[in-house]
Amino acid sequence: MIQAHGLTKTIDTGIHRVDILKGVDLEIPRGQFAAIMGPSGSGKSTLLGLLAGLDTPTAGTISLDGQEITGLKEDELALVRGRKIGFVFQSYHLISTLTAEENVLLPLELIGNGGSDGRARELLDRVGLADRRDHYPVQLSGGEQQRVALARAFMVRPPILLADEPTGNLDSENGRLVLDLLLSLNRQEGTTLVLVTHDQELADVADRRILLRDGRIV
Amino acid sequence: MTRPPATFKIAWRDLRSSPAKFLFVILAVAVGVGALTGVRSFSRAFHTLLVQQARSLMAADLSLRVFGQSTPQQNAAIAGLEQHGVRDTSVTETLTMANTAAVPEPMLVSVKAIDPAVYPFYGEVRLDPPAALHAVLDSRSAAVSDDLLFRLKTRVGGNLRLGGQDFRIAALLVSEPDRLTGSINIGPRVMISRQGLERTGLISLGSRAAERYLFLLRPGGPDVQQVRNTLKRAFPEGLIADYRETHPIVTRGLERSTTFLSLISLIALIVGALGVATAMHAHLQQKMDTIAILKCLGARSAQVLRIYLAQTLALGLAGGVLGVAFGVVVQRAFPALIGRFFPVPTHMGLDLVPAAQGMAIGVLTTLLFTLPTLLGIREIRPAVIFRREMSEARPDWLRRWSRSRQALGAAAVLLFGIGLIAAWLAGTTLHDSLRIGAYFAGGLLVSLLAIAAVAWLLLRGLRLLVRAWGRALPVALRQGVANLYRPGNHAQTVLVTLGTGVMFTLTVYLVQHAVLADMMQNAPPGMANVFMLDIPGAQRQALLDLLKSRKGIESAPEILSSVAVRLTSVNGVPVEKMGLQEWGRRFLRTRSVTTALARPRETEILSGAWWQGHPEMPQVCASEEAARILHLKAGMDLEWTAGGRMLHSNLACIQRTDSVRMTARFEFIFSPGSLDGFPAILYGSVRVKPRDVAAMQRAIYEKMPTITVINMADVLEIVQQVVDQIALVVRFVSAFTIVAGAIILASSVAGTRFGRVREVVILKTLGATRRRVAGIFSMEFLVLGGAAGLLGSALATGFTALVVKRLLKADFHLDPVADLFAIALTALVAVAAGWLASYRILGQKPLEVLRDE
Repeated sequence: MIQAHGLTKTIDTGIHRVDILKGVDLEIPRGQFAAIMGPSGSGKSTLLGLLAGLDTPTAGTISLDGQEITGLKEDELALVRGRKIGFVFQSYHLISTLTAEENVLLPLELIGNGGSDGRARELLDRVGLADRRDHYPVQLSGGEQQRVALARAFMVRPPILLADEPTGNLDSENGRLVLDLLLSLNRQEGTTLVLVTHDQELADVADRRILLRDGRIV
Repeated sequence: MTRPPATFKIAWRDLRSSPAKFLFVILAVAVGVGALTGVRSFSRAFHTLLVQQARSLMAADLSLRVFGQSTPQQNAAIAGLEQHGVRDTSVTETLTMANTAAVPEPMLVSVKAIDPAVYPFYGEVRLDPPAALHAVLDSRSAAVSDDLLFRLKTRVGGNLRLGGQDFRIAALLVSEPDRLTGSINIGPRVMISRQGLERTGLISLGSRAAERYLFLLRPGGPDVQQVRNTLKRAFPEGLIADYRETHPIVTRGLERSTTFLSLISLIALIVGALGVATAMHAHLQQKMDTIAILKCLGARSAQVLRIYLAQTLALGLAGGVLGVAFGVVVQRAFPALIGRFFPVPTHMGLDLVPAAQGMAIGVLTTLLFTLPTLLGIREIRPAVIFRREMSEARPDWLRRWSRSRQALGAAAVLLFGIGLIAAWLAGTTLHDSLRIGAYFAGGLLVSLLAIAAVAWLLLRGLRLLVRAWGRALPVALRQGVANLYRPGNHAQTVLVTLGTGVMFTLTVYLVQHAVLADMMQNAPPGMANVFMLDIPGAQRQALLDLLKSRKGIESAPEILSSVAVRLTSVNGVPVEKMGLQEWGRRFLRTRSVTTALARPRETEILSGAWWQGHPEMPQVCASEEAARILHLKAGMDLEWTAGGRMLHSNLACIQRTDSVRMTARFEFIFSPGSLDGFPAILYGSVRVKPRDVAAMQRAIYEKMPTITVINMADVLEIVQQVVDQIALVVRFVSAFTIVAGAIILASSVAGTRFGRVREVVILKTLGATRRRVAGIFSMEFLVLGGAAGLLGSALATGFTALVVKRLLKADFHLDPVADLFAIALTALVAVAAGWLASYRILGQKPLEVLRDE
């Protein structure tokens, strides 16, 4: 369960003040697939970032699985992310110096458990990259990199999965493939999925659509 | 099988992915570690040589240096040792004049009189033609060093006149075992027998000749400690050294030079570490996304920090290992630098102790300087991935304050750490080490701040200049200067590091030359330039008459009597218990004092009063410095000893004398009659027109051959040789800072390779030839190097002016030739280093790069 109350985010660049989010209230029950939509600059990615504890809101509160995260320190937030949140980015964001398998293993290692090669291989198998596990990101296509990122996101069996336009950088065929994998993994693992997208077709598959405009839910 | 953690893989693969960038970082550390390890390895090898060859270097098992005439009790103690089988011989060293028929103008020589039948007990005196010393030296022959033959235009078999007596030059003196531990190393060496010395009459009662006794122990006789104890009791003032230890004076000299050169090497290492910090900063800027991803995936700051800490450690360690290898080369360069004055160790190689120390200091310094950058990792927000503007948002005042507090904290840790490293390298007593460490850290802070400020001003000024002149400047210059401000170029760091190197090396050169020039050309008005030593009392008036009759005399000759006495107590407190430190410890030994009836004109009384006539109780006037060190106040009781006799005196006054006066050489002036009966020697001084000095020397020598006439110009020549040699060693070590600075420039250029490739491609696409592109880059390096040279030489000049005027109280003159040379050389070094790091980019094909984008 994700709960957010009165979320605002303002940035002060020294010259301008920009209000990105203006009091967002949100509740996403466990296991729900929610799609966040809205035009560019409406605050979608910022909202996702705040839900993940990647940044702190200017005002408002967020709790994940009943745990209030708004007042947590940087490292405490990192621990929460490591255990509770899986992430898929538009630009994959794999670590270029690690192989596909090492990238998938990374979240588990970061929470101090380095011995689950089996799970990493199983996930790579499930995304169709069993034979590419020793390849570096640069040796993989965009679609393949995003599939590695998917495997990585599910590695620690997080209760929450956040995805920021996961198909935005892919062609339609690869986009479709990644999306199918994402949804099937989501179903199999029973995760709460929050997905930022511009894709109406994808939003239609979601349990719920959240539309953002000008920093507010409409 | 356990896998290495992904964090370490990231660290390792990161390093492997940019070998060129990190190679320069490793080199920058290696240069400093190399200098440090080289200096300290050589010092250890030299120390080992001193220990292993202690007997040869002393020519004996034990040596005793005495500072006055031996008393009957002391002679009895030596005779007692002889009865127990200990053999001994004495060695006398003194300065005197010598000439030949071909060169009648006498020159200063250092005479060493030995007993050729027994000297040396250990080691070998090498002669040319090869012969045993006792076979060639008798009362009428001498062995001389080759520079004497050259300067007095004579040869082996020829004659030499010494102390008014003729000596046949029997052989060339190639080497003597105890030259290093001997007393006088000025001027060509003349070795004669003791009978020969007696014939010259150079040694009279109270003479300032240096006397050493050498002892040879025999099996079954007293052991070294027993002999030492006996000698210590008989000669409480004597300087005793035995084969179990290194010679105390040589060791002290070695320790001080090692500390000094180690600290200069540390500066080279710090310059290198600054480069590592800059490179790591640039690297972290590039790795911002990776760090943010890791944080998104749940990595804590400490985990991310570990990756880059591991990288820093690996770089420091690699630099350390390479530096140790480099140190072996540096160490081998030292014999070429100092071989003329010292014996050099024959076995030199990798010495594990300085190697380990060098590596540890290399890693520690690297770590300390990267600390602020590494701590900055905590500030990287994971949200950077989503929108960079967030991270660029202006932080609130609380965060800004907290950040600046962290930065200050990191800087304090850094300074404290560097201070501790400097203290470790100083390696003297805890108190002294900490003091040196504190001065070093403080000096470093002030210098770096000053250099950074000037570098900032210089860069700002350049930018304004280019903006103001704009199109009037050639394109290559305009573009070259603009390149200095490219993101990630670190022009200011390069300026600081390269400028520091230039400043250091040039300061050593400028101070050396300013001091020598001042000594050579600008003797203060009224200061004597000719000194006469060992004047027999009977010849005092004859000498004065002779001097007055000579032409070219510019000041009235002064002749003072001097007695060697030792202060034993002040107001009943023994001097040994006064806790004298460093140079103040000279008061534990015999000092030369003089007497005067009336207060000399140039002497100013600071407290107390000068005596009237011939007071019954001996009165003393102490110099301001002696009074400060010994905490003297007028009215105190001072007790003295000389030649076994005690002397009680009252401190009448404390005085200050203009340093150019001869009386300024005496720290204590006694009332007339106080020193009657003590062995006295007479000194004289006079100012003579330089062109008349040689003729006057010759005239005195012909009539009074035992008087040593010292022309300051000759002494200064010797001083210059010694100073030049020392400065050469210091410049050699400080030049490593320039090398480190040049490497940092190369590292900075390598770090901006991506931007440069892109620029080359765009320029080429727009029609620029390789030549044009090369011109732009060359101009960038040239301007950067020139600015660093300018910065370094400006600061070196300022620093030299400060040292010369304030510390040495001498005149300072600008040396524009040296400055211009330094600027030009730095600019060339910068161009070479810049191209070394970027020559491959010129050949880049535009399409390859554009297709990749």
